[in-house]
Amino acid sequence: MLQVRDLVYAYDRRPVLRLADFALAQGEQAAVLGPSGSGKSTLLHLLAGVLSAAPGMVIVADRDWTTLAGSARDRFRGREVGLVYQRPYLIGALRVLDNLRLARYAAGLPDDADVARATLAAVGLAATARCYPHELSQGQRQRVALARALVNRPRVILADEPTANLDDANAERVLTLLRDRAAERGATLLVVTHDTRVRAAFDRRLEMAT
Amino acid sequence: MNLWRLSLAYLRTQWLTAILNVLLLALGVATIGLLLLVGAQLENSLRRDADGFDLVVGAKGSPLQLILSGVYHLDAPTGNIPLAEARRWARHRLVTEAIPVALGDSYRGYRIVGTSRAYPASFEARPAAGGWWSGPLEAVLGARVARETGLAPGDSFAGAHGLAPGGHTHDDRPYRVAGVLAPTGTVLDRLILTDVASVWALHDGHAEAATGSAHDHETDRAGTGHDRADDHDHDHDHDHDHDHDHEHEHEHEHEHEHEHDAGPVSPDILDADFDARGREITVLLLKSDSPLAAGTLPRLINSVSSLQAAAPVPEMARLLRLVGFGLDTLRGFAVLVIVAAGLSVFVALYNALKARRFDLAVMRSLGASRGLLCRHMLLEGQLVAVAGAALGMLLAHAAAEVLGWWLARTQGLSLTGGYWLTAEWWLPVLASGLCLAASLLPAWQAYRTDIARTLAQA
Repeated sequence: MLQVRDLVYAYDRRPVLRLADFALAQGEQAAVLGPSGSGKSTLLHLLAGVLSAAPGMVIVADRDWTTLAGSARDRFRGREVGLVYQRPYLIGALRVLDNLRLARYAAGLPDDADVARATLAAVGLAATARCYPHELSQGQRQRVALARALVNRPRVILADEPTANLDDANAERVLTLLRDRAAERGATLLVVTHDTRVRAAFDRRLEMAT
Repeated sequence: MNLWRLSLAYLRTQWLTAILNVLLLALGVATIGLLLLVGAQLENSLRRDADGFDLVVGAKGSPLQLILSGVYHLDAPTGNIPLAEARRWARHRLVTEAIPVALGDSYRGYRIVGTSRAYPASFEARPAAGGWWSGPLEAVLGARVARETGLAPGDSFAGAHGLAPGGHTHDDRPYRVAGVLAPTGTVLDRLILTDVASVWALHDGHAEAATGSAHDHETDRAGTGHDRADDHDHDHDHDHDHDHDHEHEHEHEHEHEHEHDAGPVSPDILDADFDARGREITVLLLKSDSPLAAGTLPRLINSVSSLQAAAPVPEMARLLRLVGFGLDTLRGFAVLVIVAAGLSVFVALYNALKARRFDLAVMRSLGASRGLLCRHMLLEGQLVAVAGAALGMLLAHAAAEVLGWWLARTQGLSLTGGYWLTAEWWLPVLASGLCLAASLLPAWQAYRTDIARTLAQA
């Protein structure tokens, strides 16, 4: 479950984000739409607990971020929130499978190569487990990033323009995988985008004002 | 996945830089380690060789040269001394034991030392094969001499004139090997021991023939008093210089007659009944129980006789100070190398940090705490430190071993790579501390990674 109320975020005392109240039930999927500069990434970071809002403003996976601090907050994010960015941001020094295992390690979960392998298979990339990220195509890399967001079985998946750097075919594929895997796992999915290809896929849309 | 694998994976992607840093660090650690090893073994070896000898009495000249030639058998002797005069000091009441040493010949570069059984006894040496010498022209070989020359008890060899190889050999009067000593780890290992009478016997014939030039030379040296480390080729002459004028020594004998009453147990040639006329030895090694001996005796000997007395301990300390200056310079250089390695590690980590700022931000977004990222950077520095220190210590011991082989061939001091010092364990600590310092700033910056701001830069 994900809930936003009276959300205002100011940077240097200048409000950069204002959003009408909304709530998503567990397993619900929605798209947040808005032009560039409307604070979409800031919203995502507020929801992911990377940035802090006032108490009561953001509740994610039944927790108000303001009740968590320090490494407990990092750990909660690692376990309950899966993040997908516009760029895959894979760790180039690690093999594909190890990128997924790193997500478990960072979240303080026990190392489990089988879970990592199964998650990789779920995005259709089982064969790339031993590859390094630079050996994959752009579309494949974004799917690995998707698998990495899924590997800890988070209750909330947040995606920031996940298809912006992809061609139509890959965008379609990534979006479908994102929605299907989230639905399978009963995770709440919120995609922040200005991509019209994405907009059409979601029934529930939230508009951001500038 | 864990921090080790993560840090190793990053080092692997920057393997060239990582290897360079490890090598730089290893070079610094190895240089310091080698200096420690050489210094400690040199000091040990010098101390062991001089252990028990409180005073060395010989011909006037450089005291350091007297010690180097008489105790360590490294330098040429300062000259010979009349047995009659040496004998008086052997019986001085402060002296508990006196050992005569007569030099002059060598075999394949190993010195033949005419002495008494008390000399090997001072090193607690015992024969590993055969026995002690019991008659004229019988010799006992040090362990290394036997190993290098292949001589065994019963074999014969002809000594060569002079202490450096190349002198003419006494083919007509060869030595017979009576025994071979067990290794002692001291100077004894590279000496050939015999009794003083055998050394005299070989030279009785020559002395007259070599007299003229030898005498001139002796006078010349006494006059200028120059330190003669460079003219080893003169050994040939002055070692056999039996043609001294003994008049003034007899005068001294009368003056000090009263001091002879409480004499120590003396070997044969130091006995009053032995006819010392015309006889010479090279040095007399003295032992004493009295703490007065170190201060009083050398002053007395130096002032009232034509002889010179020097104590090994202060001379050794002086030598080590001379050598130590060179070691300090090298040590300073090694510290410089290590500091350069530290800077290189810092630059590598700092650059890595810049290249990795997205990685670090993503790790944070994946749940990694600030502390974890900080530890990750520190660990990477420590991995370089451990590898560098281990390689450096290995190099130091390998170099000491190689140096030992080389020194063994050139008759120097014994050196081995299988020698470990407690002080060496500071080297990994030093390397670790250095890499810790080098990784502090990168670690702090990793700690402060701002996810939102970093990823917004993309």
